[in-house]
Amino acid sequence: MHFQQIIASLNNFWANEGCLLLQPYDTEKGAGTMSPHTFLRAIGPEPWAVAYPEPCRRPADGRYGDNPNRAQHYFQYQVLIKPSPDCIQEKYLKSLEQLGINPKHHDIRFVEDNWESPTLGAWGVGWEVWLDGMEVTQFTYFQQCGGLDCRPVSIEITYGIERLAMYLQNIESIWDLRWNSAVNYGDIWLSFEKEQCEFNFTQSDPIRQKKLFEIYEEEASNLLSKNLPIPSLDYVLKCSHTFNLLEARGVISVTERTAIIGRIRKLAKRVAEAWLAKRKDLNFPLLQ
Amino acid sequence: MPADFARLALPHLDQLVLRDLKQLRLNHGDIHCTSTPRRLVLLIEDLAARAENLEEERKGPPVSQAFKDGSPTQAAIGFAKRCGVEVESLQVRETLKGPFVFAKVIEIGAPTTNLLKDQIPKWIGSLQGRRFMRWGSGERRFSRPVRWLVALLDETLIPLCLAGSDPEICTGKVSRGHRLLNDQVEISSADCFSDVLKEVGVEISRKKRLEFIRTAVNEASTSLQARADLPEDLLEELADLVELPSLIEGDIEESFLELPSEVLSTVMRVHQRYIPLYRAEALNDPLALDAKHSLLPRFLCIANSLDDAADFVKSGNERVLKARLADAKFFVDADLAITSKQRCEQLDKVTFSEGLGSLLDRVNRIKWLAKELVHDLNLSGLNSGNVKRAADLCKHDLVSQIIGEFPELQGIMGAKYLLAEGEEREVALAVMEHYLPKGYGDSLPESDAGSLLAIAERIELIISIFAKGERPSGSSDPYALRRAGNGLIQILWHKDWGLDLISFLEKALLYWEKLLPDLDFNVSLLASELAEFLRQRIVSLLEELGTDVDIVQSVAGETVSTVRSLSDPVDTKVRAELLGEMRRSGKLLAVQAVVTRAARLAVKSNLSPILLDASKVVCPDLFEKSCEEDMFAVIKSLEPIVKAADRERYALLADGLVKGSEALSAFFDGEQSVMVMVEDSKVRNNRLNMLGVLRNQAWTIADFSQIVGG
Repeated sequence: MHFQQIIASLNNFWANEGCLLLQPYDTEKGAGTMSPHTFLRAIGPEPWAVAYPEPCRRPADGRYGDNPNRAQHYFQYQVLIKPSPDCIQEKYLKSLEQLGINPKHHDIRFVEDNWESPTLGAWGVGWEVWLDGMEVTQFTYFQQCGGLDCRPVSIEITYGIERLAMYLQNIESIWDLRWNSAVNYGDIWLSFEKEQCEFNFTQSDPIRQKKLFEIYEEEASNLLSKNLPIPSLDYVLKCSHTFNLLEARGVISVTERTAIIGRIRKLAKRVAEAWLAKRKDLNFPLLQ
Repeated sequence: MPADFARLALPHLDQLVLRDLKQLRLNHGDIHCTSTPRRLVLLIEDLAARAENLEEERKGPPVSQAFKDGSPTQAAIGFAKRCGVEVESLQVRETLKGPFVFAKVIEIGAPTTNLLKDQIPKWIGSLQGRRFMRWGSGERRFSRPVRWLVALLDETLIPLCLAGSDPEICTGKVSRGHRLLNDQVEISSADCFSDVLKEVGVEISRKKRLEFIRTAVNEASTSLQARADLPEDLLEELADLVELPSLIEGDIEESFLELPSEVLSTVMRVHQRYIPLYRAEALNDPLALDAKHSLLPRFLCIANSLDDAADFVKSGNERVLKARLADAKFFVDADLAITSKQRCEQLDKVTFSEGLGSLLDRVNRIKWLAKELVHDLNLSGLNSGNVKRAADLCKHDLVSQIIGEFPELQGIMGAKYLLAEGEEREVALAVMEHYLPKGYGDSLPESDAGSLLAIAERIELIISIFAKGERPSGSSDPYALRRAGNGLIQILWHKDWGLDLISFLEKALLYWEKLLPDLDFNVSLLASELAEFLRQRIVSLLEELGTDVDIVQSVAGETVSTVRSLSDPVDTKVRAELLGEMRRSGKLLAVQAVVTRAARLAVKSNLSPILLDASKVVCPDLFEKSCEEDMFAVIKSLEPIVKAADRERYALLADGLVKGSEALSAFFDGEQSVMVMVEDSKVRNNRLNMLGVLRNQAWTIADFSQIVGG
């Protein structure tokens, strides 16, 4: 199954389960969770069901394309359903079957993994799904988001598309994955990977990036004071990405890390609170 | 459910059920609590169909009121009615207050089904675990969403619903089998539960799964002439991760044994829950850079799959391991491409913490502390050049690639890289050991250089974070300062190193003040804050060791000056242990009684609390009775002991106090006892001073007023 078919298959499956099919959000982010389609929608009483592929950037994970399993830019397939429905694990297993993974031929396990995003002030409990020992999906019942208790609780399912694809195509390097019958993953992304790594690890200027972090932080904070949580979230995400860039340059120690994460979390909390208040003013339209 | 939930919850459930069944008057046989990853199981054998009747005798009115002319009065009729018995069945019995009427009341036991209907939700609700969750729109909290519930009394369904679960969960007869075999399965009777589940691929007995895994692993490793690295906690976790265990033996490419065994075993055990296999005869050198001599290119894996899937599962798991190890190999190769010295230089670019400079600045402060410790501890046989070298290099692996991926291997990888570069073994070992202990109960550094560097590292952290104005609070200690403080004290104890922490901290703070003038702190205030912080660490560690709380307070509590408890923490521990021994041998009571009485009176004089020499303040010419002479003799005999400098003096002093306790109590209570607070101020002060000196001498060991009883 080609990479693009995997996305199509998951789209098809979750659309049939009643999910909205959305597109990636246009800001750099470390995980599909950070998209407003998840981060904001997991907050408050309104129901929601969405599925979308999301490109993710984790600058420190780059290996100049030399490592067969790692890249600083990759894809997640994200599903968020609120409230979390019954039989969701069984549904998830059906989605794997549709990808051609027959559970009877494998060892599929749900192993405890409690997810936490300290920058977003979000945490949940759930599982990582192991397919013959390989973690292919993260399964999380959101308990808090932006520091707010989630009521009702959302279920988030995050597939690692590359890993699944490598498994399905029986291929040992991410760069050899077939995107369609003619073009490989590497044909598309390898040159991006190399240049971005060059930027992430050597050409990015830590002093300028630190300044950018502060500018973004200020912008986010100012937007909050104008009660504009949605654009503010964009700048919180930029803070988070800039922080990741600084980390990739190795200029932040473990001790300093805690402090910066705290600053981003503070903003994310305020975004969450402002979003909830505005939805409340609108009488939570999706409840009707 | 999380793998450790059942392990932690089952013993609790077992106790709870036992207690509640007794309270409900339900007779029963054996109780079995067990679990699989998808279910908790409670089986009660030979459970009675209904509760035992409760027979009770109630006392009614006196006979004089209950009967008139042999017939029951209104009082008797009313009493019988209240008790639900016929008036004829009332009995008359003699009591101390004369004859009374009694009724035998029988409360009929309720049917078991009715009782369990209420009880089962309570049992479910009382289970505790870490990180409970809500799901859907419900408010119920549990370890993971509750999806089904079977409750049977033999063949009969016990009808009940769990409030607050979304969707609502009500009991039924349908359970679920192994995910891969059969999702729904009807349980016709409680008796056949275990067998029916086995048919659908679930071994419900946790113990059987555990023993299966243990045996399978032992057999496999024996036939491979290997030693399986299967600690008990991994074994339990494996048993809690599968419903139907099977053993899979996988291969590792030989070339991956070029990686350190710690990297391989961390990937296998921690990340993948595989069982690494060590060569049976191998000695594992913690500083070796490869695993060729220690590990076999094999691993064991416990699967939860169907037998036909074994080949898929084996190759799948091998692939995963290969990818993970290729990753690790990539990091190690990248690390080996540059030198540790170059990494040290990179530390300059990593901020340690705002206001405290870079990690290189931190290393330089550690180096300074290490140099001062070498001086203060004055250890024979220590190569100070190696300490300095180790201090220089101690943090180089923090910027290595492998530590970015395996932070738990910090120090270990740094040491291996150093040895491979030709650094002296002592230096490499010190770099590895300076992270120890990683927490309470972890092993401590053994080498002198490693221990000294570990102390320097911890003092640097504590001083720097305090100096920039942050303090650990009740629930929050983001820099793990308490752990650092504990480690520091534990190492001093373990090495039996007498270090005057008070003066060492003061010296260090003066250096910090010069080095970091932008930090806003007052040296003497901070010194006393740090001393107080470390005093609390000593208190908590002594309690952790099982020392009685009052003894801990007497040597390191708030009434004891920090100078006393911190000028040599080993000395403080020695005294606590001595008091513990005195308590166990029954000697503490007598000493404590006398010293406390002496101390209580001695406050009435102005005697300096450090004066230990009786001859300067006590005049034997003023003695009036022999008991004063005797007491004076005791005090004089203790004088040379308390003035000695070694730690043995405490035991001698304690002995002296025990031996003298008779003479001392004679001073207060004997037939020849004296009154202390007499009119004549000379005599009075003479007596008070004698008591004061005795108190001061005893205080060399501890503040006896903190000790509660013998």
